Amino acid sequence: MLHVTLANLRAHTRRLVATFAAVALGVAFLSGVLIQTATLRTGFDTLFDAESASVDAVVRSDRTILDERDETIRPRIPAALVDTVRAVPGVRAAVGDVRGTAAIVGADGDQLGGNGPPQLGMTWIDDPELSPYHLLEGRAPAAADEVVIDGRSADEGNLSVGDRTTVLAPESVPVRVVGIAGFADSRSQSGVTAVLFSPEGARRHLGDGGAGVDRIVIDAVPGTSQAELHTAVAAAVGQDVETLTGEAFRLENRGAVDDLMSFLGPALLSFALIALLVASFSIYNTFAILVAQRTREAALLRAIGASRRQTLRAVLVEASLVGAVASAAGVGLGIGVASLLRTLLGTNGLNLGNGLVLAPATLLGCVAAGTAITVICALGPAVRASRVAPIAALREHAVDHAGPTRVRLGLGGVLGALATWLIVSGTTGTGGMAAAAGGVAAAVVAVAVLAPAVAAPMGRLLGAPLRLRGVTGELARQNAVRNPRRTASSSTALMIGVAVVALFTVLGASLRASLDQVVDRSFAGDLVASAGLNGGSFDPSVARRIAALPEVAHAAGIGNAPMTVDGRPEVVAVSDLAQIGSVFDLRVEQGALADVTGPSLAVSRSLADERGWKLGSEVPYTFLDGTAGTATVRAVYGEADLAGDLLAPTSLAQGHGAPASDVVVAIGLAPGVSLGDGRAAVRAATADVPTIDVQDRQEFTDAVGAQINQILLLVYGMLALSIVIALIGIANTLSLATFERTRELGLLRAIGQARGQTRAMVRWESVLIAVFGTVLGLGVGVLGAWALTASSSGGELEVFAVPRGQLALVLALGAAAGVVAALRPAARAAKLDPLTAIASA
Amino acid sequence: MRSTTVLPRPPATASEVPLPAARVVDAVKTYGSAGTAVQALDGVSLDVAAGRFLAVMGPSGSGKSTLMHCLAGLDTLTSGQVLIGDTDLGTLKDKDLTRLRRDRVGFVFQAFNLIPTLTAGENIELPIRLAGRSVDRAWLAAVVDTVGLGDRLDHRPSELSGGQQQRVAVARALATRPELIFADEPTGNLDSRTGAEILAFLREAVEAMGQTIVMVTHDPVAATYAHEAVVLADGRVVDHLAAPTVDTVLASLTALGA
Repeated sequence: MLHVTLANLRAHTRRLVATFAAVALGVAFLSGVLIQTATLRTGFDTLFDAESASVDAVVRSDRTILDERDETIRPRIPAALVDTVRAVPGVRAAVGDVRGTAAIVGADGDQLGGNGPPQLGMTWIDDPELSPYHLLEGRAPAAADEVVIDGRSADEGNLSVGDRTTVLAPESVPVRVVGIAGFADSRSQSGVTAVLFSPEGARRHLGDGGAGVDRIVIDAVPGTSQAELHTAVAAAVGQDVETLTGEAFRLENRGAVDDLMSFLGPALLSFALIALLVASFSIYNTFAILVAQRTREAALLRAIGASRRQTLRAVLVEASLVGAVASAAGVGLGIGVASLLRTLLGTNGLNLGNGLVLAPATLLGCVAAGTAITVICALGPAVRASRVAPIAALREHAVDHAGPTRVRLGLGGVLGALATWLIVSGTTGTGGMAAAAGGVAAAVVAVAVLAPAVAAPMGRLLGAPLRLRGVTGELARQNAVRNPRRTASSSTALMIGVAVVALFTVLGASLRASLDQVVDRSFAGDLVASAGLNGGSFDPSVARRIAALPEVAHAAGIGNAPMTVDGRPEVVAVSDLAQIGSVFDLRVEQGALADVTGPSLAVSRSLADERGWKLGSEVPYTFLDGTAGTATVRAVYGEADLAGDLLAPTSLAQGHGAPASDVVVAIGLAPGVSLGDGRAAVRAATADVPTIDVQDRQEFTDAVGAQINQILLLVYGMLALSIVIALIGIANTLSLATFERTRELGLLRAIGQARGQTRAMVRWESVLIAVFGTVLGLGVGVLGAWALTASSSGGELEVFAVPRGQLALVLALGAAAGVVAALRPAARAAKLDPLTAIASA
Repeated sequence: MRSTTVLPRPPATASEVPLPAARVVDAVKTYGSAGTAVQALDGVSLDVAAGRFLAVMGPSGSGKSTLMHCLAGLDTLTSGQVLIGDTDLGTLKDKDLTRLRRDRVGFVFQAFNLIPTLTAGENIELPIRLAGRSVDRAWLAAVVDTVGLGDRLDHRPSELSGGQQQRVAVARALATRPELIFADEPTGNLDSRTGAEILAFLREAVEAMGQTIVMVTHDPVAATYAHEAVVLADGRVVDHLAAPTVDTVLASLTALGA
């Protein structure tokens, strides 16, 4: 039978092109994602290893707390410990490293970096064993206002040795660049901007002038093992600090990479899986049609003595051959996809510059996965082919007219009921977002299963306007619904892609609308001064300067203080609570914000209920530096969406290990001052801090909206391939249908259908299939977004907003995609010679 | 220089000698290239008289189907001339040939005559609607009445018997009032009783409506419904029978084999 299979493959190469393309593109995406993920991972590992490659031990505080971005932060340890460590036998060198956030201002006055990777301020360590930074030009910093910066920052900021500039740490520090340093083998640590101070400079500008260091890095004398060093150092430094071997420190850093990759990997992978899912619909459809068209051939083989098993095997061998070759090609393409992804991620600072990591196991796995998917998709059609009765060979060519089966309707009904139950439980009951998400997933599957049942009625309905196109439109409409299963499975592929597009589009619009509503409701001020949306911070003196302006009535600087409250880590907003009530409408329900002075807190109603606190409750707290105490709840407020759940007066948090900085200043203008004048005054007063941006409400929500749009664009980009695969599927269905309807097309041409009319007929059929898929996708996507919004517990998603214009655009694009998908099949149908077509009986 | 317009000819008045509905002059059709060339038509000349029922007969490979395809504008000649009315098909482009088929010619094929997704009524109206013209309801009613399909118009082809399907095909061919109807083995797939019905309809269309019909067939019985028959063999006209009977047709065909 193998020669029959091979002959088939040769004869029907063209018909398998679409399957080939679908498999190859799906596998390309999968392998591209896996290659890129491995490349990133290796890049990060190398990077973090390089950072502390020759460090043999690290000493640091043993107290930790999570900050608002869930990152571990530790208090500093006394600088005097450096001398203690240096005295330990086996220690060759030990240096105290003071670190902090410090942005470099380039020659053009704008800060460098700040769009993701950290802006690091560090201590210059003049020891190649303890620091990856080494001088490329100039000299090490000596005075407190001298710095060394990394090579790339020097290039991008147009700074050279001898230049004067400013470092925001976060207060403005005038500095002189005395040297430019490289990181390990490159000019800088990927994406990171680094400014290195002298020990005195670091202590003064990064360490708040205190005598603390963040950690002590230690190099052993040759011959002393890391374990021996660890034991000796640990014994010497005593309590409240922990000692790690260099190896343990590097492992911990790798753990941080795991955290990043555990988000990024699955996120990328899920888009690859969507592409594969869409591809599998196309593959299934192609084989289903091919098998239907070859019914007579299969029957003939059976009639002349081929067994069922041989017929089955013939189709499966064909599928595995196509699958394997296409998957191999897909892996080749995947290398290109990986490069593309790298460029895409590179714009977010995630290009580490290392070469692509091509693990043979990954590549082989992708080939295996692609082949397996192809074979699995072909299994159903193959079984159908094997069930053909030999007598079918003698009957008139049978066309696959199968509609929905009872099993399908039953399964679809059960899935639909499950989806409904989950969504209802998620939106009205206790199920929450997880139940709603499960319900949405079930709804997608239910729609895919039931699509053949609704394809005919819905196709007729959606196609009703085609009647205006006369008999050509009517023929197109009839052709689109004559085989509901086929129409359904080619449009389901498109449905999946469109559903995800619609889901994200509606969620994006809802996020934006929710933000607008929250800002309208709870922001009572006029302007906001902040250092970008990524949490850049600045000196509290900025708020005082703004407050002193005659144009400004109220100004409240708000910072974050990581602390433990009643045993749990919390991010507490720290502000002047006497002012904050004038710029935020917090809806105080009990107590008064003016009373929140000294050791006291204001808490949101929801947190108070959750933790069982009441007005007057005494709540124990601990700061990062170990300072502990008890605060009294003096106010309970209802509106926590902008300000957060816990507010503490500045006086409570000051000097307890948290950097004294604000992330935002909320400003209320004096009566009669216009937005423009107010903004100009605030801008003038903060001109020395270039990171600060002054926005009114509209600009603030627009800026967040722009961020949402950027994420949406990324999502659309990742889905583009799935949509392309779905379109290839539609084009293929049409091509195969054209082939199947050769005689019919010939007849139409013979009795007077013009070529243009034939083209239009195929084109409108394609548009109808595409619109059907798009409408299903929009329905599922909007339902999904609604379910997620309704089941979320307020907060960022309290408004459900349907962006009608954008969704109409998606529908129009879907219809246009149908036109594109029809280009080739329509041209081929129109080219058919009527005589040959009639003769091909 | 010949006119290339595809307008219907002006109606002939009783005083004029009727022009032939179609003419074939020295038609040669060669398939394939030099070495493997097959001569399907080898110098055929023929007049199709208007308002007459002509049967084209001959054994397989005699060139009768090729002749009909060339007459109907479905295929082109290697050399020679085909005229429908006074239009020379050789001068027409594909677009004009399509319009000629749509507006001036009707077809009845052996099988697969109907579009399966359209009802019988829609199939009948199809050429008119493809042309974007409005349907002449009175004429259509007369045609439907003649072929006796009144109660079947809403059925799809799969719900009709073979004979009913062919009657729909005949009705469709008549619907546009074409100058010529070509029928290619119209009874080839039918039992003899149903076949006889269809042939009677065709003859009736000629007698009552003045239609011109060219029918390709190898069935001597079918040929007896025609006013005259031409017999083809090896791409040439070998016999011409007026008012053919089964006996004269069989005699002519048998003479070929001898």
